[in-house]
Amino acid sequence: MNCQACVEFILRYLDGELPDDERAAFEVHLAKCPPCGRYLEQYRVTVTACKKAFVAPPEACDDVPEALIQAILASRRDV
Amino acid sequence: MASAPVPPPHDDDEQALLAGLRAGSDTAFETLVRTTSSRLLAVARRIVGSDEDARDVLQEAYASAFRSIGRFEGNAKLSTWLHRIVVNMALMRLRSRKRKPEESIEPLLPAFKDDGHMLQSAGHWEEGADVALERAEVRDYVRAQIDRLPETYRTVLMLRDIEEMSTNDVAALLDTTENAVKIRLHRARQALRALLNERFGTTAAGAAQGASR
Repeated sequence: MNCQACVEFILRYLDGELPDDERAAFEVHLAKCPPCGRYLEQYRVTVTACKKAFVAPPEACDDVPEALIQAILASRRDV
Repeated sequence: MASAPVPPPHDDDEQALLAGLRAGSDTAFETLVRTTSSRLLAVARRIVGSDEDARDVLQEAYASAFRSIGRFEGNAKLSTWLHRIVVNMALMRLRSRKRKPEESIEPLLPAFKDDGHMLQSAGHWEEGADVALERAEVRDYVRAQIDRLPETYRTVLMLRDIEEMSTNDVAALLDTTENAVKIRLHRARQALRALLNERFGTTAAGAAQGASR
């Protein structure tokens, strides 16, 4: 396996979707290719970054404005 | 996902709530809105970006839900059903906006030599890049980079990695195949990695790779 194939396999590797033989070849390549190892780690951090980027701190979790709730409930009368 | 200040109903409560909704009970509708709207407003805001659009999306989504509650079969949780309606309305809002022509994602993807080696191999990232994500300023930066992604890729990234919807559900919402969703998600993550490399890259190779993009 070369770097191009390795990088293409990352998503399926992380999702546990690679067949045994391809997963083994992927891991052999990673073991001997530090740049691909770094790429995989940075890919993982990127996915974590996505998830964390949108986690609002508790103080930012405002209630929905009462006016909006009332407008939503009023819209039911028009349905 | 952002947590709701009001916990969602338990299963028994959900059945009672559903019965109330089907019977047209005002109290049931109000309970539904008060227990779900905070989380759903955050969902809409994440996808459409602005508070004003998010409020419109939320109103439209509940109006749609109120109209179709009779067809809700109870196979999924009410909160899951509502989440899907909000996402759908938010995507429609995105599509209705006048967007600038979408840029190619190719410059943000890794390039390879004929022998399959990376043209510019991945450099090092600063220690504790993942820990840095605890800082609000770094999370702001990440959100800004996600907004730089071409819309079709940003959408798949939001739905899969942030809203945590299944590949199957995203494919259905976007009227495409599961394989197409996986390809877009992989490219979106790779492109975002290249953008984050501008901030986290420490070595000459890493910094150059980020700076050239």
